[in-house]
Amino acid sequence: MRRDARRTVVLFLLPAGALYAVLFLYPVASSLALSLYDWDGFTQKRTFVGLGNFARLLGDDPMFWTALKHNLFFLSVPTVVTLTAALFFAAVLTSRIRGARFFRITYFFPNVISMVAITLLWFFIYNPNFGLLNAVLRPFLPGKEPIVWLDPNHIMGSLVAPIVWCSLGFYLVLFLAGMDNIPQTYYDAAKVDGANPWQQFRSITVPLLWDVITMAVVFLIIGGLRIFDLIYVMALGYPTEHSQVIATYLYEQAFSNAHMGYGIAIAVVLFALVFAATAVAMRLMRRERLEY
Amino acid sequence: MAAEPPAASLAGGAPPAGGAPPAHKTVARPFPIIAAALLLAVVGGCARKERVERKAGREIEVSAFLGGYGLDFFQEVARSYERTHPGVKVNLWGDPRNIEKLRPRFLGGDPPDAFWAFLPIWRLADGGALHALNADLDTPAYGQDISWRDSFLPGPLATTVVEGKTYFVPTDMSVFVMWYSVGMFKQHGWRPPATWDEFFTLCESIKQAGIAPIAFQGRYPDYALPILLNLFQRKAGARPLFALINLEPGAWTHPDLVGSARTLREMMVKGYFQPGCMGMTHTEAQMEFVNARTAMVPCGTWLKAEMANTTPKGFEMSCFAFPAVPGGKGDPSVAEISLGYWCVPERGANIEGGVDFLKWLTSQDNANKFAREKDTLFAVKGADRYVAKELAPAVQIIRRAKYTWAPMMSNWYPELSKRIADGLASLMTGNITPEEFCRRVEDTAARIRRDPRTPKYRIEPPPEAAR
Repeated sequence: MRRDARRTVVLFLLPAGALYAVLFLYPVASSLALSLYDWDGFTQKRTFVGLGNFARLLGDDPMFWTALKHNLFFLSVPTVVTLTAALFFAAVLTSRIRGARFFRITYFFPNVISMVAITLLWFFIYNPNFGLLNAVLRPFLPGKEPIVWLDPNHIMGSLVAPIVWCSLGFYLVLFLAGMDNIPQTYYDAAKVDGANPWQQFRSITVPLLWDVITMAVVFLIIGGLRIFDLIYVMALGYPTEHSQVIATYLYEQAFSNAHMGYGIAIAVVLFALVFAATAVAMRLMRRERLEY
Repeated sequence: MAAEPPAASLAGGAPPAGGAPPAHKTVARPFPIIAAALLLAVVGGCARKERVERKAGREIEVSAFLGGYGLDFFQEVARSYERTHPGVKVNLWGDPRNIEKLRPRFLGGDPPDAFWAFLPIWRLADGGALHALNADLDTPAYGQDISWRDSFLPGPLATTVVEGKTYFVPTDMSVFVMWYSVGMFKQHGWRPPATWDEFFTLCESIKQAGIAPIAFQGRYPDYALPILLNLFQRKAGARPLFALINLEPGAWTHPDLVGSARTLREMMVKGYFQPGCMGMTHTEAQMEFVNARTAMVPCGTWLKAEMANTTPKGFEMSCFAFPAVPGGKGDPSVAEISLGYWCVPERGANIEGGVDFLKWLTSQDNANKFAREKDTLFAVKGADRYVAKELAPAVQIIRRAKYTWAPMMSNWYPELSKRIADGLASLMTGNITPEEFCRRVEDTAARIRRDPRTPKYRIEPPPEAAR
C-alpha cells in the first residue's frame, strides 16, 4: 500500500478508533483497575486491595458459587429446551403445512415485547391466588393449597418457561432461514434412496444447519450467563439465594451493599466466564464446513 | 433507500427550494452544537449560581425519598422554614429513586445540604461523607427550652451513634406489632393474646372458624424477622439479643434462637400462615388482611398509612405487642422499632443550612403535624399524642416499653440482612432446619467479622435493660 494511501486509511479509521477507545477500551480498563480497590461507590475513599476482591469472591463467598450454579442451570436447561423446540417447530413449518406463515409470526411475537413486560406478564400468570396457571390447574388439584410458583421450591423451574417462551421465536426464525437455504434436491435424492423424515432431518438438515445451530448455542450460552432482567423483575428487585445469578449478585454487591469495587470484580469474572464459555462452545462444536 | 433529510429540517429551518444544493447546509450544521453549548453554559451557570447561593447561606438544597409519605408534608415544612427565615430559599426535591441522583452528586463532591434516601448511610459516615451532628445536637431545639438532642426519644437517637459521633437524626418511627381485625375479633369473641401459648390457642380458634390466621408478606421474607427476634428477646433477654445485633461469635446459634426458629417453622407447618403466602408481596398479603381473608398480619405501624387507600370502608384494625413467654428471661414490654434517618453531607455547600433545616423538620410542631397527617409515630418526644386511634395501642406499647431496640445489623450489614431473608424463606418453606438457618446466619456473621472492608459497629443494651 502506498504511503499516502495508508495515511488516508489511518485518517479515516481514526474517528472510529477514537470512539472505540473512549467508549469501550477506557471503561473496560477503568473497570479492571477499579476491581483492584475496595470502594463504596459514593465517596472518594478507595483502598487498594490488589487481587483481594477476586480471592474473596472465589475463596470465601458461597453466594457467588450459588449464583454460578444457577447461571449454569439457565445456560443448560433453557438452551436445550429452546433449541429442541425451535428445531422441531422449524422442521414442521418448513414441511409446508397450512398456516405456516401465521405460526412464524406468532412464535416471533414475544421478541418484540420488552423483557420487563414479559416478566410482568409471567409474574401475573404465576400469582398463587389469581394467576392463570393455578386457575387452569385448580380443577385437577381439588381441595389442595395453591401452588406457589415463585417460592424457593419452584422458582428455578418457573423461570425456564418465560425464557423459552420469549426466545423460541428468534431461534425459530434463525433456523427457518437456514433451512430455506438447503437445496430441495438433497431431500428429493434422500427420498429416492428411501430415507424417512427423521433420517432426512438427521443426515441433511442438522449437518447443513450446523453453523446456525452453533451460533444459536453461543447466543443462548451468553444469554444464560448474563441473565439479569428476568430474575430481577420476577424477584421484585430482591432475588433470594434461590434464584440469585451472577449479574443480580453483582448489582446487589455494587449498589445495595456499597461494595462497588467488589461488584466490579464480579463483573470482570462474569466477562471472563462469558468469554471462556463462548470459546469452549465454539471449539466443541467446530466441524468441517460443508459447501453446498 | 430512504433519502437523507435536508439539513435545514434537522436545524429547524425551511428546506431548500427546488433541487438547488443546500447552500446553508454548512451553516446549519454548527447550529445544534452551538445550541447545545449554550444550553450547557446556561445549565452550568445556573448550577454555579445555585451553589454560590447555597454557600452564601441564602439557599438550602434538600432531597427527600418520595415514597408512602409523599412530598407534601416536606414541601410545607420547606415553605414554613422560608416564612420564618426571610431571605432563605429551600430547594426541596423528591424522587422515588433519589438514590440514583445522589450517587453522582456525592461522587462529584456536590451533594445537597440535607437528604433522606435509602443510601448505605453507615458506609457514607465511615467514608467521611456525612457531617457529625454532635455539636449541633447540643444547641437549643426550635420552640422549646431544651437541647435538640433532648427533644428526641432516647432509644431512637441511640441508634444513630457511630463511634461516639451522631451522623443522622431519626424522624418517622414504627413499632413492629401484630395487627388484627377488630370486627373479626369482636364477632368471634377473640382477644389479643398475652402469652405465646395464648397466641397459638388463638390461631387454632381462628383456623377452626375457617379463616386463615395470619397473612404473610412471603416475597419479602424478612417480615418474619420481627416474629423471630421478638420471640427470642422474650425468651433470652437483652444481652443475647444485643449480642446478635453486634455479631458476637456464636450469638446466632444461641439455643433460644434455634428454638424461636423452630416455632416459626411450626407456625407454617400448622397452617397459621395463609396458604400461598410465600408467593405474596407485602401489598398482596396486606390486602388479604384488610379484606378480612385473614385475622392478623405482622407489620410495622406504617401499615395503616400504607394501606389507607385500599382499606375498605368500615374495616377497623388494631394491634398488639408480640406476646410474652412465661418464665422467659426477657421483659415482655420491650418493643422493636424501625426508623427513618435524615443526614447532612460533609461536602454540602450549606452545611449550617442543612443542619438548621433538619432541626426545623424535627421541631415539636412539625413532629406533631407529621404524626397527625401521616398516621405515623415520630422519634420526637410528645408527638405520639397526635396519631390516629388505630395507633393508640402502639403508642401504649412504646410508652410502657422498658426500652426499645432496632435491628441495627440489617442497616449496618446489608449482606447479613439479605442472608437472613434468604434463610427465613428457606426455613419457612422447610428447605432447611432451624439449626441450619441459625448456622448459616452465624457463618455469614463470621465472614463479616473477618472482612476487613466492612466497618464494624456496636450498640450497647440501654441501662434500663440491666435493671
